[in-house]
Amino acid sequence: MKTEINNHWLTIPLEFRVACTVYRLKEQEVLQIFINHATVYDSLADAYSLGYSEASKTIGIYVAEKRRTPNGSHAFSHCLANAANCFRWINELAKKVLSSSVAKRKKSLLYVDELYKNMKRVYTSSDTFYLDENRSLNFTKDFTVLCELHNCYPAEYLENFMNKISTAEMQARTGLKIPNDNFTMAFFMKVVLGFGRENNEVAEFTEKEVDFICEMDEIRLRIHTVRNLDQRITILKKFYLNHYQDINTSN
Amino acid sequence: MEITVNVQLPEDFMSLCTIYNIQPQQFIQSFINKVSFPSYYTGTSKQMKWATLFFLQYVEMAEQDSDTEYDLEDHYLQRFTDTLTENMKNDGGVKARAAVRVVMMDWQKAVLAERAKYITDQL
Repeated sequence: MKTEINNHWLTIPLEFRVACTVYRLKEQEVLQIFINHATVYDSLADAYSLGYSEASKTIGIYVAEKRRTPNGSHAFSHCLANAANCFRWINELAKKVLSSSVAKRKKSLLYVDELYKNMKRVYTSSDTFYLDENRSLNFTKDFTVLCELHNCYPAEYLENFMNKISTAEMQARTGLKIPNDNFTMAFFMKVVLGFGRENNEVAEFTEKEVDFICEMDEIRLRIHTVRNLDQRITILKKFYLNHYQDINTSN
Repeated sequence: MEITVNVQLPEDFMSLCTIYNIQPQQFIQSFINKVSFPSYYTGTSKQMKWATLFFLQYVEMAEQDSDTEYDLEDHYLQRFTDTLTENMKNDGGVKARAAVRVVMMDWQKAVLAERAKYITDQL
């Protein structure tokens, strides 16, 4: 029996909601920035490009774990030769040393366009994805091609991305000086600092937020006595969750 | 224990002390009276926390280049936390305070023993 999963519906993990609340980001905006920076080109390129590399490699790792394509991509099975050529050209672009990443990424759009036009969509029925009645995401051509190429639903990529976001875990690691190799979280923190965002104006802090920032300062020091990573994460998770609930009950 | 401490009194601190008619010595004494893990971690009073938080911040900043025995720190902080959870009752933290104070004493002894090792090892 096959279990039916609703692939047109996104489960937004609590930790992700909490992180967005803590840093006053819109969930939709963060997801859109992620989508905008996941490209075929950057999945193939070794050179680092701010934001693009993190987003594309987050997907790269996910699909490497899933291995859905033993028999190739369903969407491209009818135009194999042409698709293979497109990917080869993008790969060549990625390996070329001379020109800039920006220029090469732009040029890769030519081939992504071609792939987008030719593929038979299986996993991406539309370029618009509704989070609810009021919020929607727009898929780029790159993003849909990445979905079809690896036989994955967009919701999978998005959920995988969100599942890697946890302020508690990041804080706990920083505090214990345990190296943090979660580059997806690093991507999120760049967004926190304004990366990819249109509106950079800072709204005034509410009284609750000011209290929270003071408490955050204190708890960071207070948990000095907790040397176990998991215990620290638990404490911080609870702390952030309280804030999240506090903010959401007041609205 | 009483020791003589020599410190530089910065200008800003001095003027505040003059304005509010505070003896620097008394002020420093009242500050260090409140630097305490047992009190801070069992305390309910908000007044008490600042001095210890300052200490914790100082430790956090100094951590890289200090000679702290980290293995001992991990061990005793774990014991500290466990003892704290075991002994926190509805008595305003009295029992827990006493219990963790014992841990702090043991920790201190262990650190001193560790630092004296280079002498005793030669014997």
